[in-house]
Amino acid sequence: MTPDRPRPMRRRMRRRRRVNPNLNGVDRIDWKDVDFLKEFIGDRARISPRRISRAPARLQRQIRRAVKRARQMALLPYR
Amino acid sequence: MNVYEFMFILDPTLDDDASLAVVERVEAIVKAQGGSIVSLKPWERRRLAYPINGRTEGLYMLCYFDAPPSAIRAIESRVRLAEGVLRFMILVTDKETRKRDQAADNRRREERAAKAAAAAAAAASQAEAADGGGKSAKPAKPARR
Repeated sequence: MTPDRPRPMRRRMRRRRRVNPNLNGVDRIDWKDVDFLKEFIGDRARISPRRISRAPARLQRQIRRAVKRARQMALLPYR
Repeated sequence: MNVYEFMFILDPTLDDDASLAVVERVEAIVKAQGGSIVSLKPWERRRLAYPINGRTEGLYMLCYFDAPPSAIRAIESRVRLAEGVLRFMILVTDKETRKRDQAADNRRREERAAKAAAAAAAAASQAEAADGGGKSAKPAKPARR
């Protein structure tokens, strides 16, 4: 077993997770809503992780599906 | 019967007659398989995110139709072969969109009924003539096509 490497001491402080204001009251993500979806892709057109998008899990799944559909219909790029 | 959301991209370089012909062909395909079209309208003419068949722009059409699930495969295969259709996607309409559209339709129906009732009341009594004239100024909404 490899020994643990020495890690720096880190304060265990957890900030309250802030909700993405864009997603307030959003129930359903529409794959046709390109302007909305653009917020959730990066500069290389990759889908942002929840870490960045700050989206709840359910919406993140919808976003992922929506982006992939939009890409297929040439509304969003693949790269 | 499910309501399906159907978006397809037309070749933008086609002239109006040719585009219309393609749209009619698509319509015919849906109907031939037992589908009934709820709405079919142009959605946007826009730049594609990447070239398709060498083209950089496309004319997007958005259609909602009602059809038995067994018909979808046949519709898809025929649309794929249709000339002028660059790409398409058929999805089951999600319940939220369906509910919103139905609510809008119901509201429109109620408005029309209310207007008809108001117009009838106005015709009956001379005193209401002014109000009745104001209401009938609104043009009748055509059925969703």
